[in-house]
Amino acid sequence: MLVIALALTLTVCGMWMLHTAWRKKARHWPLLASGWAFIFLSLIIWWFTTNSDKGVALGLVAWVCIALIFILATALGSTRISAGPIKEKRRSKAVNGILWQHVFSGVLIGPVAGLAALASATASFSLFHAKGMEHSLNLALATFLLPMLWAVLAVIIAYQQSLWHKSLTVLMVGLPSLAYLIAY
Amino acid sequence: MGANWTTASSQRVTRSLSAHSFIALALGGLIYILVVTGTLSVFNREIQRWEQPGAPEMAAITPEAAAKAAATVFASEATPTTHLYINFPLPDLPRTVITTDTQAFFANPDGSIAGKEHFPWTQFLLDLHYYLHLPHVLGLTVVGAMGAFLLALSVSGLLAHPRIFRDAFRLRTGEGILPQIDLHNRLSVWTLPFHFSNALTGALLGLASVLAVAIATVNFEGDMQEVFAPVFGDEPAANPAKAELANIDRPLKYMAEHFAELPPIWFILHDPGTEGQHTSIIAQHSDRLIFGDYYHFDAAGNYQGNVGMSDGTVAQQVFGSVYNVHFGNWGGLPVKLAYGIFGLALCWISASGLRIYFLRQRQKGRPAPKLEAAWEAIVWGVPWSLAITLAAAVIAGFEGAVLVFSFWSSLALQVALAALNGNARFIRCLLSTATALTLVLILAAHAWRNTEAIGLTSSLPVSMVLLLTALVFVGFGVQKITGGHRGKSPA
Repeated sequence: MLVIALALTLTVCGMWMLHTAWRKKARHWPLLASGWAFIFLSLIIWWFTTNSDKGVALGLVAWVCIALIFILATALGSTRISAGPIKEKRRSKAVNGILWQHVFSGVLIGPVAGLAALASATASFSLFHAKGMEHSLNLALATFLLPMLWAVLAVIIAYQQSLWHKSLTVLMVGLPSLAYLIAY
Repeated sequence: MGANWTTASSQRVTRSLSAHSFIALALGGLIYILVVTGTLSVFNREIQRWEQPGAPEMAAITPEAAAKAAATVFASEATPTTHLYINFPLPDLPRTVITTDTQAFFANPDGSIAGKEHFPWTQFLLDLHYYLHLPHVLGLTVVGAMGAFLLALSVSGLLAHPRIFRDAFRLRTGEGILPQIDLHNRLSVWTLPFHFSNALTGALLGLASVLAVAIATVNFEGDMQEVFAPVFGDEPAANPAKAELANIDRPLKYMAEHFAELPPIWFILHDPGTEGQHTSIIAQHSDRLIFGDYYHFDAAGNYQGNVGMSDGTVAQQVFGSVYNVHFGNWGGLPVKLAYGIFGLALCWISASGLRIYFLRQRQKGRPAPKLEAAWEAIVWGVPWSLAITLAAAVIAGFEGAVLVFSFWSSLALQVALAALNGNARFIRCLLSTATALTLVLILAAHAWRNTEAIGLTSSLPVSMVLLLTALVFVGFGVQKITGGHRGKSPA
């Protein structure tokens, strides 16, 4: 119980330091560094409240809860602003012509990027399987790779403006993996 | 140099914001449904209890009583079941349930059978969150893909936020677009550990099946068992020749004697009543994130060893933690409540994201009142459609396909009518008030049907939360009527 209280105190102190640093007009590195150090230290102490995995997870939950309390306090302390009328600009140029580009981007982000990520994750598993990597670790790597790669591909494709660049990105990820799987 | 860097940075922000908006516009609706149902699913055990408040409850059951109940249910099976389960009492679901392939019964503390388990709305909710009511593998894959896109939204949102530290606590309140942007950004940044880990674990759970099929096809001649066995344990070869039912209480007694600190949460008898039958007990490790570890026994009840979710490879332990990290059932009620709050924050982040987009479009001279109203119909229509299905289950006893049809058809109708109407503010007011009234109706019907259980711990907390939710929704409705938001949509 004492350890939990200490960990909570450190988290609150860390958040208070970050909040105080934020309120200062000039950037205050010592306060910022101390704030993050306190939060990091609190996670280490949470580690000892139970087993390491659950302890750190509890620490993260506590940290987010305390952060939300700070956000709530900031909201309560801020002055309300009124909306005023929405300043609408004059209707801009019609953008109907790019609908098919959006559809194409959607197909690239969804099924195509998904298949490219799936091919890459499978190729990664097969490659390390052939190299004799321990099975569960290999499976974990592939399992984490699939959604993360899909997410990154989705962001890159949506970020790029040229349809050629979007297509090229997916092809550069998907084709080598597919080629490896065919040759495997 | 400085000017170039600023221009590049500004371009990066604009394009990241555009990527963020594109993904949200394309998939925001499905992601929002998953976020709302995920938040409710954290409390699925509490809702199960509320749906059937009169079921027998207990803190623990003796091995003899559990074995007696399991044997009784097994004997009642018309066709042989492939698995016989005992679900042991948990702090948040203090009930013993005996389950086969086709039926599930509550057990009394003495091992007698108390009645059928029946929680159609919770099942409907979980099916919606796990599969979006699609066929299972397809549904899991679509839901997993939505997890990947939620990850993409987190990443693109961070890239679009250049002043992440400078604005760490900036929160203007009041009306208009700025307070909405501030709250959207602050909640997104500070709850990032939660929604990032939840999106990732959701994607892992959803996409695991399709990845396993691909890996098995390429590496193991399609044998899925080879993919998962080194992580979750191997299944011995089946021997369908008839045999006496395996000893059930001996493995339970063994666990109580040798692993007293590890309470069993599930007992699984594989291929019961055959020569190939064997037992797995999943025991809880309460100081860990893992859902538990498998402890195997042969038909005579002799201990064969554990799989290693608790003490095997690091990867096994990571796999063992994914489910609990996603659903928040690893730290008792405080962690569940925290997940509930974080889930509500994510609901708000999802809802406000597209609301901000439509306000910005209006400022740019490209208003889309019909789409804006349709989005409000999704935001407020999902809770109302869920309330409609709950009312259908509680008042009329509907279940299964009827609930699925009610949910999707009512939501589609609301979105279509809202798009025709084109007044987002009116839609918000109407749907939030309708949700509140439906919740009150549900509470009245539930109290009338379960008079004897009104004050029970199985019923009261959920009823109180539903009442509070109804009041909050009335508050939203009234706020909209009295002009909580002045940016009236052009009708």
